[in-house]
Amino acid sequence: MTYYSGTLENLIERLCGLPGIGPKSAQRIALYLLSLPRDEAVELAKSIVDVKDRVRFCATCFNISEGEVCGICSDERRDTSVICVVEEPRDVIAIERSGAFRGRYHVLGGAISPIDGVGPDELRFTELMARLRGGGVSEIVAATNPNAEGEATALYMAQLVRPLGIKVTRIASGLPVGGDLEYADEITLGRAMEGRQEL
Amino acid sequence: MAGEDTGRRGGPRERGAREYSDVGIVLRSHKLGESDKILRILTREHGKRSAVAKGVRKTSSRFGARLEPLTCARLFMHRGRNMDTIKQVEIRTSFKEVREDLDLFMCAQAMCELADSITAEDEPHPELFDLLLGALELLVEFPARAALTRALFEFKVMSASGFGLMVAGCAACGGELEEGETWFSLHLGGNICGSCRAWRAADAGKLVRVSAGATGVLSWMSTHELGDWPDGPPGAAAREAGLLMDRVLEHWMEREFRTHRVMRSMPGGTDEDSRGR
Repeated sequence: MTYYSGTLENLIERLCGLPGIGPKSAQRIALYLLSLPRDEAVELAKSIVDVKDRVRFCATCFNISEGEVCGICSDERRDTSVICVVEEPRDVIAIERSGAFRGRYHVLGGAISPIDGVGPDELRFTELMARLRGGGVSEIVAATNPNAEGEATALYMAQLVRPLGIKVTRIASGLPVGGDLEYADEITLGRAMEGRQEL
Repeated sequence: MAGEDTGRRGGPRERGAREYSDVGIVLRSHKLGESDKILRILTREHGKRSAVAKGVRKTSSRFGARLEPLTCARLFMHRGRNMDTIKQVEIRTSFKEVREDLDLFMCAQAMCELADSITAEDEPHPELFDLLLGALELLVEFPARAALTRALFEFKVMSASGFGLMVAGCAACGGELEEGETWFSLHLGGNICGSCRAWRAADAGKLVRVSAGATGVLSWMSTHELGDWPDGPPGAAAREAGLLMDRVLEHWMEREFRTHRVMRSMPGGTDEDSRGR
């Protein structure tokens, strides 16, 4: 049974399709939007349309971009010899926020997960290989997630890239800064011990 | 019995009827919301369960590493209306060696997909759990025999599910098979003799030519258990038998296995890896 008018019901249904939004939240957001002044509601709708119209994937690294090439790829001050390979555009933002990497990126668009039917063909490995064959790259940093799928992706990438004579490195795994050792799980602690460094 | 506490680690009186614990293997996981995951777990006593692991995707989570796919752990769960919630985890075996080798990981995922496909939620299947755990342990111990381990696991799972393959004699007439190369009928689930093949024209698209070596491997699998190894190194015959098992499973389940498709798309075209497993 529908309690709202067709238009409002339609909006609730649309909002319901968004990640993390259930029927109750969708109803609350829809009623909030209804209470907004018209100008603000139009601005919001325009932002959504603008994003769809203007934002696309960078032709080089497949990060989110408003132009043909993203700001990172077009920045000449960045090191072109190192490429950091990540799963999703949000991983680029996370690494950029750290300020610890000054090279360029390549966004694969996911991770290898055979049980979910995601293999190398579904990811942007062909594009990565084309970039590497173009020359000028001496190191690839595998910055995929430290989980089973991310590790499988990094292993596959290493198999693929090594024959080109390019160094493949993996981001380190270990203890979070500020945390107590006693609360670390055995696998993370084991990885931290394996990756220990001389002082 | 499904739905009851095993009583091994404190029964219902101690923790309430909705709390239970069991040993389980994480078959697969997918993201839920901001930082949670939904896990599909094959438990020994409670069958296949879906459970929410809250906050495991945060770097501060103590659960995350303990609930990676393939991990075997004792789980303390809270039974929910639709899905269970994981409250505590103690690792039994992490199988990290399997996750750190691409070929072993592929093999293990294929076995998990099979275990996931043939079980329904809440239906205990301790034999399947023991087979999967045993097969994962063999992958760690004998990585060079991964393809044979997977084929034998699939063979035994089919037998345990009431679909044993007929490899000793003709699956159509029960007669003896000719020496050398034979034909395997996907419809009948077994080898067939030359005369039966001649009149089963309707099965033409479902007949697979099998070498004498692969027939020998299939026959060996019917009389041996996981952990047994045939004489001599694993070779082309074992790989052929493994590929045939994949076809039989897909015919039996009436669908393509995702892991099989990904394996075929990997360099080399099949799950036969470069090290001749």
